[in-house]
Amino acid sequence: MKRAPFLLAVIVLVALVESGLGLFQAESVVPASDWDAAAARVRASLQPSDLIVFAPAWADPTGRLHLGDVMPVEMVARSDDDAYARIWELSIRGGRSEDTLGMTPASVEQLGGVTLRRFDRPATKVLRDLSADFPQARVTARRVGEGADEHPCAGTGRERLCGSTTVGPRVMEVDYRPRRGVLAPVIPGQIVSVAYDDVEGGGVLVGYAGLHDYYARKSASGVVSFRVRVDSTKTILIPLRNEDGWKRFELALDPGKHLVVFEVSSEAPAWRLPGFHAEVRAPESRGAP
Amino acid sequence: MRGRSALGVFLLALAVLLGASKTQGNVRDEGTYFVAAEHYARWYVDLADNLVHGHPGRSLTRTAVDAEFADNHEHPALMKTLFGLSWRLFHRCECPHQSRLHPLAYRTKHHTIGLLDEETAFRLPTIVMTAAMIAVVFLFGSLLSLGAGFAAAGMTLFAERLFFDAQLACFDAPIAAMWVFVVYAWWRSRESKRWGLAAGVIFGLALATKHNAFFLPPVLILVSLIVDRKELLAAVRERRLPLGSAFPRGLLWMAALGPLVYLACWPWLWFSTVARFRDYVAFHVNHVYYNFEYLGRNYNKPPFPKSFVFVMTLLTVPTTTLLLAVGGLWAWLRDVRHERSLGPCGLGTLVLLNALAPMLVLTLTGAPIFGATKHFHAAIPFLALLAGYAVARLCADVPRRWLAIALPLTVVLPSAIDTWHSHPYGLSHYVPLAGGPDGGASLGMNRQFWGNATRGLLPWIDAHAKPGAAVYWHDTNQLQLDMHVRTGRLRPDLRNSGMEEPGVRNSSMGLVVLEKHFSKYEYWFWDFYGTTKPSQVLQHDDVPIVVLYERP
Repeated sequence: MKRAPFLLAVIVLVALVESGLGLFQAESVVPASDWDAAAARVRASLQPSDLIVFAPAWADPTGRLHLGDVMPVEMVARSDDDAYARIWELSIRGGRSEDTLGMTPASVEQLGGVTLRRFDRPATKVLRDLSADFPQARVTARRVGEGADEHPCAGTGRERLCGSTTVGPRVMEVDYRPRRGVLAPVIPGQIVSVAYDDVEGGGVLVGYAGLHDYYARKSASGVVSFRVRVDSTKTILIPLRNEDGWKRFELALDPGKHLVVFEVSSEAPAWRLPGFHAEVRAPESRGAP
Repeated sequence: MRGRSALGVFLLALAVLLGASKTQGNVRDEGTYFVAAEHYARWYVDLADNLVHGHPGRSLTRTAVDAEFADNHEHPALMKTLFGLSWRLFHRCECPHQSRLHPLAYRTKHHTIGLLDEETAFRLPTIVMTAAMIAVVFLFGSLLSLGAGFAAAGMTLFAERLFFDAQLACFDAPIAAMWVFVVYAWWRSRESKRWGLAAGVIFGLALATKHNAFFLPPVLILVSLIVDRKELLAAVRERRLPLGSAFPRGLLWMAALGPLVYLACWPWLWFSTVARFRDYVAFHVNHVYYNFEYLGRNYNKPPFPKSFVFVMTLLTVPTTTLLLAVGGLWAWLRDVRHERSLGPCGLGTLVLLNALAPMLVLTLTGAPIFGATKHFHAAIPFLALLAGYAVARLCADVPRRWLAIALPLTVVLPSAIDTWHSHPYGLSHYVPLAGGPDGGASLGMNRQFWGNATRGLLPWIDAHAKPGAAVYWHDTNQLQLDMHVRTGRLRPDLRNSGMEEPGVRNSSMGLVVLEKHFSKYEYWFWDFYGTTKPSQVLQHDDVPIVVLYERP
């Protein structure tokens, strides 16, 4: 057959290229020393309002192996990047972080196999972190329906017991990503409330809510009613479904002190583990991306 | 020549697989099968003892059978029996000193040949069967040319996902091997009465290996309907039995002997046969949906993506093999049309349908997609045979003596490099077309699913854990850990802190096997240890596969 030598050449070429790529990939691992060098550069210039990210996203554990000691859960399990004035991106194999897409780096440095980029950006000021202030919150439960009595949940500090259900700050898994906030599981037939008295206004209440735990999302599909109340004047109701991810909400707070209440309930309460995070941000806070 | 070459292929494959198995971590299912294997082996040892002493009936009571075979009765017994007997024959015994680590108590050392450590002794039947499969693939391929045989055998041996499973005391490589054996015996039965009998026996053994074998008869019937259509139509018209190779000798033997051999190999089915078989079928029809990441999404309930088997094949089988397979199919079809096919008539149909069938079973039934490629491994030998046809055709069309040797070596080279590169983390590996392991991770493909990678951190844990430390082992079960202790890879003083959230809370050190749905387990460490900094990150290439935390 006339084409046989050509086809033979193609096959041999493909085999050799594939073999070469296999060998190259095996030999192109980024050494730990490159990560150390990049980490040292970051440490030397690190400021409190800096965010550290890794790219591709799957390199995150390796990055934290080298810089995890300066990456608290507030950073790693953040809801968004708005409070950070600078972003350090440590990237391998040409990866880019979703946090820096579309941004122009202020500096770029190649440290062996690690590319270090710094991005400068305007940051918003967080006036109060309600997840961090959970120990000051009042946690109660009441039966669904008008006029039911509220019962305070037991305990003080980081965790409250509403019957056998624990409410408290956790790093939750929402849509397979870490989200720091307050986990408030649904109690059948009850409304669980997390209330903050005397929240200083004059800013914007920015928050997120979602359903924790892949297994719970696999096991049930009930909709959770997540309600945010400010005094008795403003209320938003956010239905939370399995596929919703980490849903953002905003409410402007007038100057003065406010009562801010977060409530969860569901008519299909099995395996429903909602959680939320909320902050009061300065009025110039940017909106949803 | 073919026979001696096949023996050489078998021995080479055996050596490669045995060598590789020394560094491969055990998987979750193996832990379960190690236990079942010891039970099943004890029943056979007791049976032999009772036979010698003239009262075999003692082993044949329902109580005696259920005492050993009730364990793990959701899968047939053949492979677990072979694992157990291999262990009983070959392991280096320290059993009396490992009382907590075995499912059974042993007061004295076993008399064994003592050639292998316990884990390898359990795994030996899989390794031998896979090596035999490679030899049979060679025999099939050498019907086209010796070069085709060597190429097909090499591409099958070094298909990295199959290579991974070929070293485990599990059923996925054995059922792929059994599929090939049945197809080979059925093919030979078309011309030989003895091979008809063999096809019946081997089919029974295949059924007793794993339920995939139930899908074999329809495939072989379809092959016969296509290959023998003229004779079959003539037989129908003339109201007589088909003659010659069209006579369904193999299928008749399979129908007659298959169920008998199946039952003989599985004593649990000897009592309440219908009810127990119904339970077995129900277990698999209603199988729990495990989690599996595919193209960035975690699937744990239907509907499952129809593209799964084809994309997984594309990203895990070397491109050279797939390209040759497509070329081989095209050349084979063309050659049949021009009546210049290199192999015996009908071989191409047999190979093509058996390459497609294992993949189509999953696709058409909408079966859960967990297990990556392990449920359609049987497609690999036949894809390799299609590739072998391309090799044979190229060598025939470009007749150079050196090419007959150089071409098979060249086309097997990418597979060999890929498998060397992947080992021992084959489940985390993707071929260069996918971009390698990191390309697979970036595509959002499953990182692993069987808890085997833990072994890579055992040396560090052994060196750094405090005496008696409580360790959270995540997706590595206690039975796997027991084997690590039995083989001296893990310190016996380390405690298992338990499962789920309490396990992490109660631990002083722990690990998380990285899969998309397992992310919450790592967050528990952040909460309970107060740090996001792991102490160790086990990587395959640059891709993290296990993280380990220490309580500060």
